[in-house]
Amino acid sequence: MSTSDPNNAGTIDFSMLLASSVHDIKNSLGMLLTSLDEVIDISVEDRPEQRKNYSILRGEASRINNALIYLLGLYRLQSDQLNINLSEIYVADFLEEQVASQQLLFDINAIDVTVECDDNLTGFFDENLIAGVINNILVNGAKYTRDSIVIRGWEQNQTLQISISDNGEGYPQELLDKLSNSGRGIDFTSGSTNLGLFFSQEIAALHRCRGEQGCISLTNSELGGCFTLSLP
Amino acid sequence: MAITKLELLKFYKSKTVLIIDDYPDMRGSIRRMVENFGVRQVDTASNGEEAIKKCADLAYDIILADYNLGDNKNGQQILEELRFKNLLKNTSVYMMITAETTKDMVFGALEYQPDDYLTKPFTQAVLEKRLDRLIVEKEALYEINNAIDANNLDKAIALCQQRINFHDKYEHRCYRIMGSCLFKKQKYGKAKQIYQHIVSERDLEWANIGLGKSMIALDELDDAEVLFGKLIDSGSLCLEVYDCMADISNRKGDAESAQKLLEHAIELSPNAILRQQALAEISEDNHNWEQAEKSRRKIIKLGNNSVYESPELHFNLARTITAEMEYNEAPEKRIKDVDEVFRKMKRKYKDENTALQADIIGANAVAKTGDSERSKTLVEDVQKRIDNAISPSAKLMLDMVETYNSTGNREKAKDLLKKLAKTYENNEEVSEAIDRLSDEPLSAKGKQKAVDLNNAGKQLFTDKEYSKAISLFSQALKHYPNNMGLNLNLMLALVREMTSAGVTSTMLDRCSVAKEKLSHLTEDNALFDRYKVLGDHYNKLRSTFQTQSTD
Repeated sequence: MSTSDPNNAGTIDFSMLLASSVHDIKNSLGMLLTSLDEVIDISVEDRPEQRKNYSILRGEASRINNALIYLLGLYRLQSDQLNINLSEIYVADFLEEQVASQQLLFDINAIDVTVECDDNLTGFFDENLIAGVINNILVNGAKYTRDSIVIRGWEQNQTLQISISDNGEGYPQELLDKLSNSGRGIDFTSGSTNLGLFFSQEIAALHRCRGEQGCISLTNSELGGCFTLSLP
Repeated sequence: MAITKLELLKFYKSKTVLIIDDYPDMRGSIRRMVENFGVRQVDTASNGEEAIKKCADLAYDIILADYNLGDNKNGQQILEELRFKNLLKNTSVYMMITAETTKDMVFGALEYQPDDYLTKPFTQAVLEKRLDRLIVEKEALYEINNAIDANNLDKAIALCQQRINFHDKYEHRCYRIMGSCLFKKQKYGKAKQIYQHIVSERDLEWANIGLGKSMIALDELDDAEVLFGKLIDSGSLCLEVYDCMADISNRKGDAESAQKLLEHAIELSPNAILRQQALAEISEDNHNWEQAEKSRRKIIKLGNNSVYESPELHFNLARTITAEMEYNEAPEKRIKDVDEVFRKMKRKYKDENTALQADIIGANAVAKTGDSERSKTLVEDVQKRIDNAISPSAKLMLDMVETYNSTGNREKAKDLLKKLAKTYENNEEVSEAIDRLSDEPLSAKGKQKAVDLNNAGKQLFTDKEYSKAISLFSQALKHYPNNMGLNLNLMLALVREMTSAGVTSTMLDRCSVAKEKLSHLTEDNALFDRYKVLGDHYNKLRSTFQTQSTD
C-alpha cells in the first residue's frame, strides 16, 4: 500500500481511485433513488400504465446500488480492509426493514411479501453487510417470482437461519450446480453475473463463531426457488 | 407485548424531534418523513453550535444527526458534547445518519456511541421501521434509562436484573447497561463477571472492552494487556482500546509505549481533546517537551468555543514551556513564548485572579532563565497581590508553590503546602495535587498510601521481585513525583535489578531521573546516607556500563 517507492511517484493508485469513485457514485445514486421514489409516489396514481416502466427503473437503480456496494466490499475484502462489525440484531425488525427498503418495488410489481420470524429472535452479525446480501436476493426475487416472497428467520442448533423463498421458476440448474460443486466459493470468472452470490458467499464466510463459518445455499422445490443464509 | 400501529402513532404525536443536517434539502426531506409518522414538533439545525443551543432549550426525544456536517463539528462530536453537558437524556434516541458504513468512522469511548446508525440512502419506510424499533426499545427500558438519568445507578442495576430474568430480546442490552453501571459504581469484580459471561458466549467488542477495563481497574494488567492486544490486532476502530492499552503501559511504568499508543490513536482521530490531554501529560512525564507543547497548543485550538475552554488550558501550555526551560540550553529565548501565551489569554479573560496566576507562572519562567534579580522582584509583587486577592484558587496557590521552589524559597513553599493541605483536607483532587508537589505526603490519604506502598515494596524486596518493585514505585511516582521515599525506593529497586539481571541504558536513565529529584537533599536530612550510598552504586553501574559498551 506504500507509495514511497520513487518509481511509483506520479502514478495513480488505481484501486484507491476505484474505491473513491464507487463511493461518489453510490452517494449520487442514493439521491437518485430517493427522488425516484418521490416521483413514483406522485405520478403512479395519475398514470397507472407507467407502472411497468417505473418498476424497471426502480429495480435497476437498486441493482446498480447493490452492485456498487459489492464492488466496494470486494475491494475492501481484497485489501484486507473489510472487517465485520458484529452486533446483536433483532432479526424480525431487521428483516422487516429490508422489506421496507424495497417496498415500492414490491408494490408496483404487486408482489405479496411476508416475514415469518419470532419477535424475540436475536442474531449476531454485521448489519450492513448482511443487509446487502438480503437486499440483493429480494431485488432478484422481485424480478423472478410470480407474485409472492416469504422470508423466514429462525434458530437451529445455535445457528441463525434466514431463508427467502419465492414462487417463481426456481434457480437455474447451472447455478445450483456451481454453488454445490465449487466448495469454497463461486467461480465468477466464468462470465455469468453471479457477482451477488459470490459476494453473499464471502460475506457469510466472514461470520465465524466457535469454529463454525457462515454459508449460503440455494434449493428449488415445486413451489419455487429458495435462498438460505446460515450464520453461526 | 407487541405494540400496535395506533399506539406508535400516539407515541410519535407526543415526541419532539431535532434534525441536524447541513443540506437544506435533506433537512426538508427528513422533516417531511417524520411529520408523516405523526410527529408534531420538528426542529432543525444546520450545524453543531445551533444544535447544541437548541438542545439546551429543549430536551428532545429523538435526534437525527448527519455524521458529516461539512467543516463543522460532526455528528459524533455533537453527541459527545451533548452527553458531556448532560443535555441528552438516556431515555432519548440519538440516531446517526451516515453516507458510509459504520466501520469507516473511528469513534472514541463506547459510552459515546449513538443508539443507532442509519446508512444513506434510506427511504421513508426504512426510517420508520428503524424509529419504531428504537422507540419501542426505549419504551421497554424506560425505567432503567430514567434511573440512570436520575443518577440512581443502584436502581438501574436492580431493574436490569429484573429485565434480564424475562429472557427476552432486550437481555443483552440490559447486560450491557448493567455492566457499565456496575463499573461506574466501582464494583469492578461484578462488572467483570457480567462481561466475562457475555464474552464466553460471543466475541462482542463492547463486552471485551468492558472486560478489559474491569481488569485494569482490578489491577490485572497482564490479562488486560493480552485482551486489548487482541482487539487492536483485530482492527478495532474504537479508539478507547488504544487509550486503555496506553493506560496499561503507563501503569506498568512504560510511559514511552503509552505515549506511542496515544500518538497513534491521535493520528486516527486528531480532534479528541481528552486524548490530547492524556498525551500532553504523558509526554511531560517522558520529558518529551516537543510533543507535550504540540499537544498543549492543539488543546487550546480544540477548546475554542467548546465546553473545555478555560484559562487553565493556557496555563498548562505556559507550564509546559516553563518546565522545558529547565532542560533548554538557552532558556531566556523561551520567555517571549510564555509572554505570547499570556498575551493571547488576557485578551479573552480579564479578571484579576487570572492575571495574577499568569504572573505567578511568568515569575517561575523568569526564574528558570537564571535572572534571579528580576524573579525576586516579580515574586515580591505577586506575593503582595496574593494577600489582597479575593478567594484565590487552589491551582493558583499551587503555582505559587512551584514559583517559590524555583526561586530558592523552599521553606516558604513547604509552609504554603502545609497550609493548603489543611484548608483542602477534604478535597481529594487538591490533596493529591499537593502531595504531587511535596517531597513528603501531607494529606491523610497520601500518608496512608505511602505506608501501604512501603509495605508492599518491602515484601517485593524480600521476595527478590525487583522488576515488580520497579513498576510499583514508578506507578506511585506518577502521583507523587517529588516524594523522597519513593524516589529512593525506586533507585534501590533499579540498582538491585541491574546488579542481578544486568545493566540497561533505560534503567540507568530512570535511575538518573530519580537521583535528580533527590539532588536537593542535604547532609542533615535523615535520608541523606541512603541517598549517598545508592548514588555511589548508580555511578559505579553507569561507568562499568559505559566501558562495556565502548569495548
